Amino acid sequence: MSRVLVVDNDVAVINLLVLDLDLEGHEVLATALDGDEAVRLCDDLRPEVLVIDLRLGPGLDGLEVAGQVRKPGLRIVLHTNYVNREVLQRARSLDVVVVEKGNLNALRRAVASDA
Amino acid sequence: MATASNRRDRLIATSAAVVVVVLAASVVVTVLTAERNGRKALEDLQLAQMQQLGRVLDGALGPALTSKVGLTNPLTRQPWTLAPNDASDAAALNALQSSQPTARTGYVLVDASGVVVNGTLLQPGAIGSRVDRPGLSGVLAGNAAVLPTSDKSLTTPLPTIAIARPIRANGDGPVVGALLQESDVAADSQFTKLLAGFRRANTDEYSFLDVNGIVVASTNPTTVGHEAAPILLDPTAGFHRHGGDVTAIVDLPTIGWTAGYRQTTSEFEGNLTGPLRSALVLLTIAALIGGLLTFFALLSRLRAARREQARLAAINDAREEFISIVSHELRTPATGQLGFLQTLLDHWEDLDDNRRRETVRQAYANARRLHALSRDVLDTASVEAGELPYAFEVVDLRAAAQSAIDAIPNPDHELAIDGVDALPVRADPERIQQVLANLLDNAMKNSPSGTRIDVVLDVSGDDARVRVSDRGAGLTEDELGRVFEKFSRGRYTTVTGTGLGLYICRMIIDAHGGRIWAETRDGGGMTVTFTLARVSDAADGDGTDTDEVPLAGTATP
Repeated sequence: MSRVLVVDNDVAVINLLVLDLDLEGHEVLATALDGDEAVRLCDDLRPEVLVIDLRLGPGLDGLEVAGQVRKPGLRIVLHTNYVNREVLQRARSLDVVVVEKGNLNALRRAVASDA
Repeated sequence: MATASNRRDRLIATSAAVVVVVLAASVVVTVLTAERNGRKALEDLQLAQMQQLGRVLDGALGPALTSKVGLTNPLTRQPWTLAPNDASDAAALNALQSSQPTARTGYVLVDASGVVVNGTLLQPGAIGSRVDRPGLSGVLAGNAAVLPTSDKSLTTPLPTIAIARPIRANGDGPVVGALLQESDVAADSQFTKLLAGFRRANTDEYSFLDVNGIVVASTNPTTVGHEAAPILLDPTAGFHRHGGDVTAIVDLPTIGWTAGYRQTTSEFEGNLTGPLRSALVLLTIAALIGGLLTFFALLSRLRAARREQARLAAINDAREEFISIVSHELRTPATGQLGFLQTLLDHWEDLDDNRRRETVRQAYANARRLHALSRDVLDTASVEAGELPYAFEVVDLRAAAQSAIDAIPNPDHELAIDGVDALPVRADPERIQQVLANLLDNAMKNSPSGTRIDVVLDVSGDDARVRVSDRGAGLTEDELGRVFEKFSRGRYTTVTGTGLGLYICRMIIDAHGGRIWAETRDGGGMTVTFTLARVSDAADGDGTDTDEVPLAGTATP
């Protein structure tokens, strides 16, 4: 079980992840709709897993948030529709796992892959 | 990018204009060359004419110097007696005198010492006096000459020239005297009158100068007898230019005179340069106009091409953006729908009935959103192709609005309807449902959960009016102006969408002949208002409709 922070600018996606991760046995600490709030909540709540969308509207995007909050003990999962080489390179340089939206099994694995 | 191509366009247009101007310049150079050549030809012609004149005069006067006529008494054919007032000499001189076409040439005999012994037209007291004229000593030394102009005349108070020939004993013996033919130099002299016929223009002037530069005869009578103008005293023969004048100088070697011609440059070249200059000016103006026209025509052509290029690029960008947005927007609810269903299946046993129902509701909401989005996309294509069918009938907007609200399951917002109880209009009920659904959806997306959304129906003149207001962040004036454009999307962080909903609303309301606009709500948020022509209460009621029905519509619930 992991302590998870979920960030997405689409409420429907947040609802889904909150429900599913909870049922998967994780603790969803909080949710955020934008990057700035995600950074703040990361500092405050110290989650073990950050599930974050790439595109978050105005402000920081998911990988920029990852660049700011990354630290040992925090796994970051980029949950996005936009997977391309550039995104994968940026993600790899930040030790961020990329999961394509719609693949719920992959997301569950990424969140649960706790040593 | 745009400025670079603008600069390139301007460069191309400028180059074309430069080519035109260069061509024009070459034409100008050609014309100027032609003018120079023409001027040279004119000079040569004038000089040749003067040389011809000089030859004629030289040819006419020259033989007079070598003539034997008058070197002996023409009546007696004996040598002149050269005795003072000798009667036979006087008779012969009178005969010579009368053979002249003019009575203004006098004949004078001098003896070997230069003393006058006889003559015609003589001034009183001339006989016995010594002739005081430069050049006479040369004649008495044996050389015939034209004596320069002098006031010391024997025959007239006027200045004269004199053709003087030595008289030799027995024809070729020693010089015993001389015969002088004095002709006056005057404005009305025979010679001057002859010259008058040469003039062809206003400023041309023909003159003959003796060895001392005194004008012997001229088309300008005031100069006769005086020293010639400096420009005619130019020592070299040929064509010359002196400021505003041209001159042609020709030497008459036999008699030692000079023939001179002068004219103002402008008049001399007038016939040549006038038409050439006009042609030049016209050509230059034409070239400049041509260059300018070329420049602007090319520039506008190129700019139009750039604009068209930019327009096509913009269309292409919009299409690509549309595909990108639509694919993302369709994918999101599809993902949500699948996700909730998978969660439900995977955790069916973990969920109680309420949570199962809630999960199904979430899946349903996503499916509904997917449906609405796909309809927006398809409708946009239909609207733009002009293929969206309308079936008009009487619709109650109040009922339609209630229906649109009811169609939203478990809304996150407080949806309130207010205003008149019944508001009949003539409209396509399905399309009006779509408009109301899109406006509600837009309001919900643009305002936080739990806030209130008002739908207010009222009457404004002949119009039925519907206002949908949210309590969101609202929009700037600029954004309000663009909100009905295709792909216009709000800036609110959680706002997603294709940017097609309000665009479709506008297209539908336009097709109904109504108006739709957006404004800032008093107290924050946004109000979208649309109006449709109201149907009078009398026309309402039967529910049937006899209007054109391209495709069957369904009545409002």
